[in-house]
Amino acid sequence: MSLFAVKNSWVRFLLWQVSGIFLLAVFGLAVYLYYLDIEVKEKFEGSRWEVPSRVFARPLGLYEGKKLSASQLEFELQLLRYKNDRTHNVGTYYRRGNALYLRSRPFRFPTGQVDAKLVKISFSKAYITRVTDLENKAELDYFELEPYLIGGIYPRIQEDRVLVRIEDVPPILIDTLLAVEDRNFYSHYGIAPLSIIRALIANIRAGARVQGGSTLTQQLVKNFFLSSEKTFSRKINEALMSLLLELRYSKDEILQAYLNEIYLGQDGNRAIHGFGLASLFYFDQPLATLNHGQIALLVGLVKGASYYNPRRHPQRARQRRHVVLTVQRDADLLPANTYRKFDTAPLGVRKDKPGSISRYPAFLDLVKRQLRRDYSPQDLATAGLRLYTTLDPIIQNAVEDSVEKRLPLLERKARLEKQRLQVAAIVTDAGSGAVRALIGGRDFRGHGFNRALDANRHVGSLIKPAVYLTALADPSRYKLNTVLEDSPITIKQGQRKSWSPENYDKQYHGRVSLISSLANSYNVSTVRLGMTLGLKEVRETLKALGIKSKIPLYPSMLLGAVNMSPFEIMQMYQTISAQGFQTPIRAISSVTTAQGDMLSKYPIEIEQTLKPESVYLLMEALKEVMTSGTGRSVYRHLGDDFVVAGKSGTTNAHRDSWFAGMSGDKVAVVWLGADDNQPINLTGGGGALKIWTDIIAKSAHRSLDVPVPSRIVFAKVPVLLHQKQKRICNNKHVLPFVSGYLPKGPERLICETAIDDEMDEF
Amino acid sequence: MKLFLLVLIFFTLTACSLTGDKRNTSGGLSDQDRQEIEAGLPVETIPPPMETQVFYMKPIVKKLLKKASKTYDEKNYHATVRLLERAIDISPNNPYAWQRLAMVRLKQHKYFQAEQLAVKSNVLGEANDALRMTNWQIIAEAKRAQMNAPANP
Repeated sequence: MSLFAVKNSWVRFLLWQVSGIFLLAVFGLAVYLYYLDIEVKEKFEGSRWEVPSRVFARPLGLYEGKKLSASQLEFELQLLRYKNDRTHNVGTYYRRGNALYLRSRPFRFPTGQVDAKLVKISFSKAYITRVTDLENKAELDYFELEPYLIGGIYPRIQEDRVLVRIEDVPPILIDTLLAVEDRNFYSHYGIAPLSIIRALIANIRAGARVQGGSTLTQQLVKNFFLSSEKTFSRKINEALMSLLLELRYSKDEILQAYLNEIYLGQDGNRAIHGFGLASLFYFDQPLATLNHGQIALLVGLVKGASYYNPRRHPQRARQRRHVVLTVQRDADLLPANTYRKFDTAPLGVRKDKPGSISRYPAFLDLVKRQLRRDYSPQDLATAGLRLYTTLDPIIQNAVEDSVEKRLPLLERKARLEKQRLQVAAIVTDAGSGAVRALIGGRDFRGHGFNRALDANRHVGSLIKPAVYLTALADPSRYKLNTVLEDSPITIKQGQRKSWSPENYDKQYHGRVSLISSLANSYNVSTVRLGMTLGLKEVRETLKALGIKSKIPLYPSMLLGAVNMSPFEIMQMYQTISAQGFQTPIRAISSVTTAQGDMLSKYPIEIEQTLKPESVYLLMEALKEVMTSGTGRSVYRHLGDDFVVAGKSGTTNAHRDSWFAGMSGDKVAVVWLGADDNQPINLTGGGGALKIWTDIIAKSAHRSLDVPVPSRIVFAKVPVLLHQKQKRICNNKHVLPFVSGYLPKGPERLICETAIDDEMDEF
Repeated sequence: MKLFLLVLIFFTLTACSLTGDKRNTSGGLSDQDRQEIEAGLPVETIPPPMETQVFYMKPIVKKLLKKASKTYDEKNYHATVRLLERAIDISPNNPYAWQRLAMVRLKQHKYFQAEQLAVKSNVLGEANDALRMTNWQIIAEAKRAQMNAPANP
């Protein structure tokens, strides 16, 4: 073989080797690109982000005749961060004389988008007299403010966003961003080597980073997929993935993702991603309302959100803003005559950060529990749902206010050490069962034990209405003026020790009317009544009232030696206030997607479980509690013409102080106690009632007006009344009765019989 | 002796007035009452208290009900429910709002709720025969539908 032939065979061999290696490399690259492509696609098109659910309070409805003062409206507006000025800009208000003027913000309600409106609300004392649309010069029947964002349900990894669509982003923000970070965004293919060089030159000339070298696509890829380490392999991956992203998706899609992904700050555990949330976080304003200066500050944060943090490093933030404003001016995005105005303006960042944690954690806890039936925790925390709840911040504030003022006074009165008393309170609408306020402890903002939902405590006399309701459901045997016996009784309990209940005042009151026995919360007559009726029957009544807890069939159950939470007690009294219709207590009215598509509604649903005439008679007795019984102090504060009904509850050794009751439009339950279940030296009337009275005074607008069922008739009858520790017999007391079961014969001699019998005994 | 008798009568009368007989704090039983008692007759009824007989509808509730009627006729039941629930929030004892809600639930085939809401409307509007008549019709239709369709939506 010739030398030439030998050389040829080596070259061929080498060529084959190189070709093979080259093909292998290409194949390897193709496989790698395929793998990268799958990752890019999955992240972009799957659950791109974990977006927390937004939880809103009820929208405040304004209409002629609504009981609402200008100050209360102002409270709501301040909560919504409306500015008090006369500019008539979106999100501003001012008062003048008896009127309040505001320009509302646009908002996407569950029913659809509502644009901003310029509105005048006229007041007379504590009522709205007119609501006027000033631009259309028309009176509005009903106008809703956007609801207050009370918090969110966050994913485990604690990222937070307010998603924005590209069409909702102010053009000046996009233009500024591109001018600073990626001028050729719309013309490159994901990477731009020339841009890197150009940026380098511009930055050297300016002595500052006035242009970015990475494209927005590269920055997005880095945020989405990669770590921030500056290695060669990471740079290669970044470039390849940027190219793939550009191949797969449009420029606008990439830009929109960037606007929602870019890291712009930190709030404790919560990372602030995207311009939508950053706008709220720094300025407490929606993105659409930002001015040039504010936009310049946010765009400046892209380079380094921690380094240029305006709260911690205001000087750096100001310098960075200056750089961005200069870019705006040079790119003709900012008129020259306003450049100086924005450059010298204060940063305008709000001092207090809007917390990720809800202002109302106990209520939010209830919302999450009620949604568990329909939504997984994952969906709630990551799908960006919009949850519209029933919470009324005005009423919530009234409850918190009362608790804050009353607790120290009650601790002093009961000679307890400071911070000893704990509290739970719930307020609902009488008709619909909507929760308007809820506190789970004296630390309103804390995330600890939620006493409103989870404190299982003895309920004491709060259970007695169930005993009397059981009796009144049998009108042939029991009427409101039926005489009961309040005299010593001993109940044998099989193997257990006999039980001899006593009254609170350690006295026995002899013969008492049913209505007086409940009004004064006598224990002994109640136990006698309950034992005659039967424990099972009383338990059935409790179930009909909505109680789901296990009720033990011990005689002490008749005096409330049963554990229940304030929430369950609320359900019981809600049923009473709703004429015997069980109306589930609800905290949510609807759920939509982030785009506003309706997912779930939570309408009013009811079920009749008790006879309306029995409930009517019980209400008469519960009204008597407030006029002459254990709740009578209430009318010192409410005024005689505002009728309410309710029941106090005090447990053994004064461990718990309860009050539950209703007006014409609200039902409220208050519990006081100590977490270690030790005595607190407060009765229901002396403790919880004080807070209950404050709540009703501030939140209830209608006096109790119980509709009269058709089977109820009225008559003047003799009644043994116990008022102010005296017993009197009123022969002509007006009481309701079930038709066909009026007192007759000897029943009409109640007063004579009762007193004569006692005189004989004496 | 006369003096002694006078003193005795005086003290006897005084003793009687102090025996704690407080039966007749607002008028005693009349002869007619006693005759009726002996005859085993029940007490006579009296008209219900004035405040229970007055039904007042706030202007805003009237407007909401009117709008709800319009959306109901347009078959926009979601809007109707929203308006009626708003009316109930403002005026929880308005029997018309509950009745209209019952009618919507009937249209939505939610028969159990239609029946319950109509019953509630009846309880609230006992004095109104026309309202009750309509409610009974709703209840009858809801019961019929429930019997025919065991699976309630």
